[in-house]
Amino acid sequence: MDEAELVRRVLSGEQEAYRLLVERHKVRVFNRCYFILGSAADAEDLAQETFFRAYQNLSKYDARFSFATWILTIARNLSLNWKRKPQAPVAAVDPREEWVESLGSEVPGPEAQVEEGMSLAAIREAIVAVQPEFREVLALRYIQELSYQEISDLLKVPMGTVKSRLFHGRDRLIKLLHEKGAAPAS
Amino acid sequence: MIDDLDKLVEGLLEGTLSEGDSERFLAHLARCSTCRELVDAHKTVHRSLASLATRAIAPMSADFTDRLLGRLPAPASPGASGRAGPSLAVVLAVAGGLTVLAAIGGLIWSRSGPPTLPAASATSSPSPSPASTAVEAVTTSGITGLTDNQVKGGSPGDEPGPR
Ligand SMILES: [Zn+2]
Repeated sequence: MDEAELVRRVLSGEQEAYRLLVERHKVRVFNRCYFILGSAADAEDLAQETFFRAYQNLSKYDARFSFATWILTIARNLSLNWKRKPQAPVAAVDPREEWVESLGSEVPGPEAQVEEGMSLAAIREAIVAVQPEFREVLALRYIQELSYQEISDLLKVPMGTVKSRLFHGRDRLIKLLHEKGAAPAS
Repeated sequence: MIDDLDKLVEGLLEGTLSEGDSERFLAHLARCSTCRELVDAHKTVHRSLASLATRAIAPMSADFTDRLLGRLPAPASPGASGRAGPSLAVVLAVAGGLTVLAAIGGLIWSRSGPPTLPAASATSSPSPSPASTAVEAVTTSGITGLTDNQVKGGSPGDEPGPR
Protein backbone atom coordinates (compact mmCIF):
# COMPACT_ATOMS: atom_id res chain seq x y z
CA MET A 1 0.00 0.00 0.00
CA ASP A 2 1.08 3.53 -0.79
CA GLU A 3 2.90 5.15 2.13
CA ALA A 4 1.02 8.41 1.93
CA GLU A 5 -2.17 6.40 2.27
CA LEU A 6 -0.77 4.56 5.29
CA VAL A 7 0.11 7.86 6.91
CA ARG A 8 -3.39 9.16 6.23
CA ARG A 9 -4.85 6.09 7.87
CA VAL A 10 -2.71 6.49 10.97
CA LEU A 11 -3.69 10.13 11.23
CA SER A 12 -7.34 9.20 11.02
CA GLY A 13 -6.92 6.98 14.06
CA GLU A 14 -6.01 3.65 12.51
CA GLN A 15 -2.99 2.87 14.63
CA GLU A 16 -2.46 -0.54 13.08
CA ALA A 17 -1.48 1.18 9.83
CA TYR A 18 1.58 2.42 11.67
CA ARG A 19 2.61 -1.19 12.21
CA LEU A 20 2.99 -1.56 8.45
CA LEU A 21 5.15 1.55 8.24
CA VAL A 22 7.33 0.34 11.10
CA GLU A 23 7.68 -3.13 9.63
CA ARG A 24 8.66 -1.64 6.30
CA HIS A 25 11.35 0.66 7.67
CA LYS A 26 12.58 -0.78 10.95
CA VAL A 27 15.59 -2.61 9.52
CA ARG A 28 16.93 0.45 7.76
CA VAL A 29 16.32 2.67 10.75
CA PHE A 30 18.02 0.15 13.02
CA ASN A 31 21.01 -0.20 10.69
CA ARG A 32 21.30 3.56 10.38
CA CYS A 33 21.30 3.87 14.18
CA TYR A 34 23.89 1.11 14.43
CA PHE A 35 26.18 2.95 12.04
CA ILE A 36 25.92 6.01 14.24
CA LEU A 37 26.10 4.42 17.69
CA GLY A 38 28.00 1.18 17.06
CA SER A 39 25.96 -0.89 19.49
CA ALA A 40 22.95 -3.04 18.74
CA ALA A 41 21.28 -2.29 22.07
CA ASP A 42 21.69 1.46 21.67
CA ALA A 43 20.65 1.25 18.03
CA GLU A 44 17.44 -0.49 18.97
CA ASP A 45 16.64 2.10 21.64
CA LEU A 46 17.28 4.93 19.22
CA ALA A 47 15.22 3.20 16.55
CA GLN A 48 12.33 2.89 19.03
CA GLU A 49 12.58 6.56 19.89
CA THR A 50 12.76 7.48 16.22
CA PHE A 51 9.50 5.72 15.39
CA PHE A 52 7.90 7.12 18.53
CA ARG A 53 8.80 10.71 17.63
CA ALA A 54 7.80 10.16 14.03
CA TYR A 55 4.39 9.01 15.21
CA GLN A 56 4.01 12.07 17.38
CA ASN A 57 4.88 14.31 14.45
CA LEU A 58 3.23 12.36 11.70
CA SER A 59 0.86 15.19 10.82
CA LYS A 60 3.93 17.17 9.70
CA TYR A 61 5.12 14.51 7.28
CA ASP A 62 5.05 15.77 3.70
CA ALA A 63 4.13 12.98 1.30
CA ARG A 64 6.16 14.57 -1.50
CA PHE A 65 9.18 13.12 0.26
CA SER A 66 9.87 9.45 0.82
CA PHE A 67 8.93 8.23 4.27
CA ALA A 68 12.35 6.57 4.47
CA THR A 69 14.12 9.88 3.97
CA TRP A 70 11.95 11.51 6.60
CA ILE A 71 12.33 8.85 9.25
CA LEU A 72 16.04 8.29 8.68
CA THR A 73 16.61 12.00 9.10
CA ILE A 74 14.72 11.95 12.38
CA ALA A 75 17.01 9.13 13.50
CA ARG A 76 20.06 11.12 12.49
CA ASN A 77 18.88 14.26 14.28
CA LEU A 78 17.89 12.40 17.43
CA SER A 79 21.29 10.74 17.52
CA LEU A 80 22.97 14.13 17.96
CA ASN A 81 21.67 14.40 21.53
CA TRP A 82 21.44 10.70 22.23
CA LYS A 83 22.50 9.60 25.68
CA ARG A 84 23.75 6.06 25.59
CA LYS A 85 22.55 3.75 28.29
CA PRO A 86 25.20 2.71 30.80
CA GLN A 87 26.79 -0.43 29.43
CA ALA A 88 25.12 -3.51 30.81
CA PRO A 89 27.21 -6.67 30.87
CA VAL A 90 27.11 -7.87 27.29
CA ALA A 91 25.43 -11.21 26.83
CA ALA A 92 27.53 -13.47 24.69
CA VAL A 93 26.08 -13.74 21.22
CA ASP A 94 25.51 -17.24 20.08
CA PRO A 95 27.82 -17.62 17.09
CA ARG A 96 25.38 -20.00 15.44
CA GLU A 97 22.81 -17.26 15.43
CA GLU A 98 21.67 -16.25 11.99
CA TRP A 99 19.31 -13.41 11.43
CA VAL A 100 17.05 -14.70 8.77
CA GLU A 101 14.22 -12.95 10.60
CA SER A 102 15.58 -9.54 9.81
CA LEU A 103 14.81 -9.50 6.14
CA GLY A 104 12.07 -6.96 6.60
CA SER A 105 8.58 -7.06 5.24
CA GLU A 106 9.61 -6.74 1.64
CA VAL A 107 11.11 -10.09 0.94
CA PRO A 108 14.13 -9.61 -1.26
CA GLY A 109 14.82 -11.80 -4.23
CA PRO A 110 16.94 -14.90 -3.80
CA GLU A 111 20.07 -13.09 -4.95
CA ALA A 112 19.76 -10.65 -2.08
CA GLN A 113 19.62 -13.51 0.38
CA VAL A 114 22.86 -15.02 -0.78
CA GLU A 115 25.57 -14.58 1.78
CA GLU A 116 28.21 -12.89 -0.29
CA GLY A 117 31.11 -14.78 1.22
CA MET A 118 31.31 -12.26 4.04
CA SER A 119 29.74 -12.58 7.42
CA LEU A 120 27.46 -9.82 8.58
CA ALA A 121 28.91 -10.31 12.05
CA ALA A 122 32.36 -9.45 10.74
CA ILE A 123 31.08 -6.28 9.10
CA ARG A 124 29.15 -5.38 12.22
CA GLU A 125 32.32 -5.56 14.30
CA ALA A 126 34.56 -3.86 11.79
CA ILE A 127 32.30 -0.97 10.84
CA VAL A 128 32.50 0.58 14.29
CA ALA A 129 36.24 1.04 13.80
CA VAL A 130 35.80 2.98 10.55
CA GLN A 131 36.20 6.73 11.01
CA PRO A 132 32.84 8.46 11.55
CA GLU A 133 33.15 10.68 8.46
CA PHE A 134 33.54 7.60 6.26
CA ARG A 135 30.91 5.63 8.14
CA GLU A 136 28.44 8.45 7.67
CA VAL A 137 28.90 8.48 3.90
CA LEU A 138 28.64 4.68 3.75
CA ALA A 139 25.37 4.84 5.68
CA LEU A 140 23.93 7.55 3.48
CA ARG A 141 24.84 5.63 0.35
CA TYR A 142 24.08 2.05 1.30
CA ILE A 143 21.39 2.25 3.98
CA GLN A 144 19.64 5.45 3.06
CA GLU A 145 20.34 4.85 -0.64
CA LEU A 146 20.95 8.50 -1.42
CA SER A 147 22.61 9.48 -4.69
CA TYR A 148 26.07 11.04 -4.80
CA GLN A 149 24.42 14.37 -5.51
CA GLU A 150 22.06 14.06 -2.54
CA ILE A 151 24.93 13.14 -0.22
CA SER A 152 26.96 16.02 -1.58
CA ASP A 153 24.09 18.44 -0.91
CA LEU A 154 23.42 17.03 2.52
CA LEU A 155 27.02 17.11 3.73
CA LYS A 156 27.91 20.22 1.76
CA VAL A 157 31.01 18.63 0.27
CA PRO A 158 31.90 18.24 -3.42
CA MET A 159 30.77 15.10 -5.20
CA GLY A 160 34.40 14.05 -5.68
CA THR A 161 34.76 14.05 -1.91
CA VAL A 162 31.70 11.84 -1.56
CA LYS A 163 33.16 9.29 -3.99
CA SER A 164 36.53 9.46 -2.32
CA ARG A 165 35.02 8.94 1.14
CA LEU A 166 33.01 5.98 -0.10
CA PHE A 167 36.14 4.41 -1.53
CA HIS A 168 38.22 5.06 1.57
CA GLY A 169 35.40 3.94 3.86
CA ARG A 170 35.18 0.61 2.06
CA ASP A 171 38.95 0.40 1.90
CA ARG A 172 39.24 0.84 5.64
CA LEU A 173 36.54 -1.78 6.14
CA ILE A 174 38.42 -4.21 3.90
CA LYS A 175 41.62 -3.70 5.88
CA LEU A 176 39.81 -4.18 9.19
CA LEU A 177 38.14 -7.34 7.92
CA HIS A 178 41.49 -8.57 6.70
CA GLU A 179 43.01 -8.01 10.13
CA LYS A 180 40.20 -10.05 11.65
CA GLY A 181 40.77 -12.78 9.12
CA ALA A 182 37.38 -12.15 7.55
CA ALA A 183 38.54 -10.20 4.53
CA PRO A 184 37.38 -10.77 1.03
CA ALA A 185 40.14 -11.46 -1.48
CA SER A 186 42.51 -8.55 -1.15
CA MET B 1 48.59 0.92 -9.49
CA ILE B 2 46.92 3.69 -11.38
CA ASP B 3 46.03 7.36 -10.85
CA ASP B 4 42.57 8.26 -9.55
CA LEU B 5 42.08 4.72 -8.31
CA ASP B 6 39.35 5.76 -5.87
CA LYS B 7 37.22 7.45 -8.53
CA LEU B 8 37.77 4.61 -11.00
CA VAL B 9 36.78 1.90 -8.52
CA GLU B 10 33.75 3.91 -7.45
CA GLY B 11 32.72 4.45 -11.06
CA LEU B 12 33.21 0.79 -11.90
CA LEU B 13 31.03 -0.33 -8.98
CA GLU B 14 28.28 2.12 -9.84
CA GLY B 15 28.59 1.75 -13.59
CA THR B 16 29.15 5.45 -14.04
CA LEU B 17 32.56 5.43 -15.76
CA SER B 18 32.82 7.12 -19.12
CA GLU B 19 33.59 4.81 -22.01
CA GLY B 20 37.16 6.06 -22.19
CA ASP B 21 37.81 5.65 -18.46
CA SER B 22 36.17 2.26 -18.47
CA GLU B 23 38.37 0.97 -21.32
CA ARG B 24 41.51 2.40 -19.77
CA PHE B 25 40.72 0.93 -16.33
CA LEU B 26 39.72 -2.50 -17.61
CA ALA B 27 42.89 -2.64 -19.68
CA HIS B 28 44.87 -1.80 -16.58
CA LEU B 29 43.07 -4.43 -14.51
CA ALA B 30 43.85 -7.05 -17.14
CA ARG B 31 47.56 -6.67 -16.42
CA CYS B 32 47.69 -5.50 -12.79
CA SER B 33 46.80 -8.14 -10.24
CA THR B 34 47.13 -5.70 -7.33
CA CYS B 35 44.37 -3.48 -8.66
CA ARG B 36 42.34 -6.51 -9.72
CA GLU B 37 42.37 -7.90 -6.19
CA LEU B 38 41.53 -4.53 -4.78
CA VAL B 39 38.56 -4.15 -7.10
CA ASP B 40 37.34 -7.63 -6.20
CA ALA B 41 37.54 -6.81 -2.50
CA HIS B 42 35.61 -3.59 -3.03
CA LYS B 43 32.96 -5.43 -5.04
CA THR B 44 32.44 -7.92 -2.22
CA VAL B 45 32.18 -5.25 0.46
CA HIS B 46 29.98 -3.16 -1.82
CA ARG B 47 27.50 -6.04 -2.16
CA SER B 48 27.49 -6.72 1.58
CA LEU B 49 26.91 -3.06 2.41
CA ALA B 50 24.18 -2.80 -0.21
CA SER B 51 22.34 -5.65 1.50
CA LEU B 52 21.97 -3.47 4.58
CA ALA B 53 19.05 -1.66 2.99
CA THR B 54 16.99 -4.78 3.71
CA ARG B 55 18.96 -6.89 6.17
CA ALA B 56 19.58 -6.01 9.82
CA ILE B 57 23.27 -5.72 10.66
CA ALA B 58 22.58 -7.34 14.04
CA PRO B 59 19.67 -9.36 15.38
CA MET B 60 16.74 -7.15 16.35
CA SER B 61 14.28 -8.00 19.10
CA ALA B 62 11.43 -10.03 17.69
CA ASP B 63 8.97 -7.84 19.58
CA PHE B 64 10.37 -4.54 18.29
CA THR B 65 7.16 -3.46 16.58
CA ASP B 66 4.81 -4.71 19.29
CA ARG B 67 6.85 -2.94 21.93
CA LEU B 68 6.69 0.28 19.96
CA LEU B 69 2.97 0.08 19.31
CA GLY B 70 2.43 -0.63 22.98
CA ARG B 71 4.10 2.68 23.82
CA LEU B 72 2.09 4.80 21.44
CA PRO B 73 -0.68 6.94 22.81
CA ALA B 74 -4.09 5.59 21.93
CA PRO B 75 -5.40 7.03 18.68
CA ALA B 76 -7.08 10.33 19.40
CA SER B 77 -10.16 11.56 17.59
CA PRO B 78 -9.90 11.33 13.80
CA GLY B 79 -7.64 14.00 12.43
CA ALA B 80 -5.50 14.29 15.51
CA SER B 81 -1.89 13.20 15.23
CA GLY B 82 -1.73 11.29 18.48
CA ARG B 83 0.44 13.99 19.98
CA ALA B 84 -1.90 14.70 22.87
CA GLY B 85 -0.57 14.37 26.39
CA PRO B 86 -1.61 11.57 28.70
CA SER B 87 -5.08 10.33 27.97
CA LEU B 88 -7.91 10.89 30.40
CA ALA B 89 -7.87 7.19 31.17
CA VAL B 90 -4.22 7.32 32.19
CA VAL B 91 -4.73 10.40 34.34
CA LEU B 92 -7.71 8.79 36.05
CA ALA B 93 -5.81 5.57 36.55
CA VAL B 94 -2.91 7.41 38.14
CA ALA B 95 -5.18 9.51 40.33
CA GLY B 96 -7.11 6.42 41.33
CA GLY B 97 -3.93 4.51 42.03
CA LEU B 98 -2.60 7.28 44.22
CA THR B 99 -5.85 7.53 46.15
CA VAL B 100 -5.94 3.80 46.77
CA LEU B 101 -2.28 3.88 47.75
CA ALA B 102 -2.84 6.70 50.19
CA ALA B 103 -5.78 4.90 51.71
CA ILE B 104 -3.89 1.62 52.06
CA GLY B 105 -0.84 3.42 53.37
CA GLY B 106 -2.93 5.24 55.94
CA LEU B 107 -4.58 2.02 56.95
CA ILE B 108 -1.30 0.18 57.43
CA TRP B 109 0.20 3.12 59.25
CA SER B 110 -2.74 3.42 61.64
CA ARG B 111 -2.76 -0.31 62.37
CA SER B 112 0.90 -1.12 62.77
CA GLY B 113 2.97 2.00 62.66
CA PRO B 114 5.12 2.93 59.66
CA PRO B 115 4.84 0.38 56.89
CA THR B 116 7.93 -1.65 56.26
CA LEU B 117 9.57 -1.23 52.93
CA PRO B 118 8.47 -4.56 51.45
CA ALA B 119 4.87 -3.91 52.44
CA ALA B 120 4.96 -0.49 50.85
CA SER B 121 6.40 -1.74 47.62
CA ALA B 122 3.91 -4.59 47.53
CA THR B 123 0.94 -2.27 47.89
CA SER B 124 2.30 0.11 45.31
CA SER B 125 2.77 -2.49 42.63
CA PRO B 126 -0.37 -1.67 40.63
CA SER B 127 0.49 1.98 40.25
CA PRO B 128 4.00 2.44 38.83
CA SER B 129 3.09 1.38 35.37
CA PRO B 130 0.35 3.94 34.62
CA ALA B 131 2.18 6.62 36.58
CA SER B 132 5.41 6.17 34.68
CA THR B 133 3.47 6.04 31.43
CA ALA B 134 1.91 9.39 32.24
CA VAL B 135 5.26 10.92 33.10
CA GLU B 136 6.77 9.53 29.94
CA ALA B 137 3.91 10.85 27.84
CA VAL B 138 4.42 14.29 29.29
CA THR B 139 8.18 14.38 28.92
CA THR B 140 8.15 13.05 25.40
CA SER B 141 5.39 15.35 24.23
CA GLY B 142 8.08 17.95 23.68
CA ILE B 143 9.93 17.42 20.44
CA THR B 144 13.25 18.82 21.46
CA GLY B 145 15.16 16.37 19.35
CA LEU B 146 13.63 17.62 16.14
CA THR B 147 14.33 20.86 14.44
CA ASP B 148 11.39 22.99 13.41
CA ASN B 149 12.32 22.67 9.83
CA GLN B 150 12.48 18.94 10.14
CA VAL B 151 9.20 18.51 11.90
CA LYS B 152 7.51 20.61 9.26
CA GLY B 153 6.95 19.46 5.79
CA GLY B 154 9.21 16.44 5.67
CA SER B 155 12.08 18.46 4.27
CA PRO B 156 14.00 17.92 7.44
CA GLY B 157 16.95 20.17 7.95
CA ASP B 158 19.28 19.90 5.09
CA GLU B 159 17.59 17.01 3.40
CA PRO B 160 17.60 16.53 -0.34
CA GLY B 161 14.55 17.27 -2.41
CA PRO B 162 11.72 14.93 -3.30
CA ARG B 163 12.89 11.62 -4.59
ZN1 LIG C 1 47.27 -1.45 -10.74
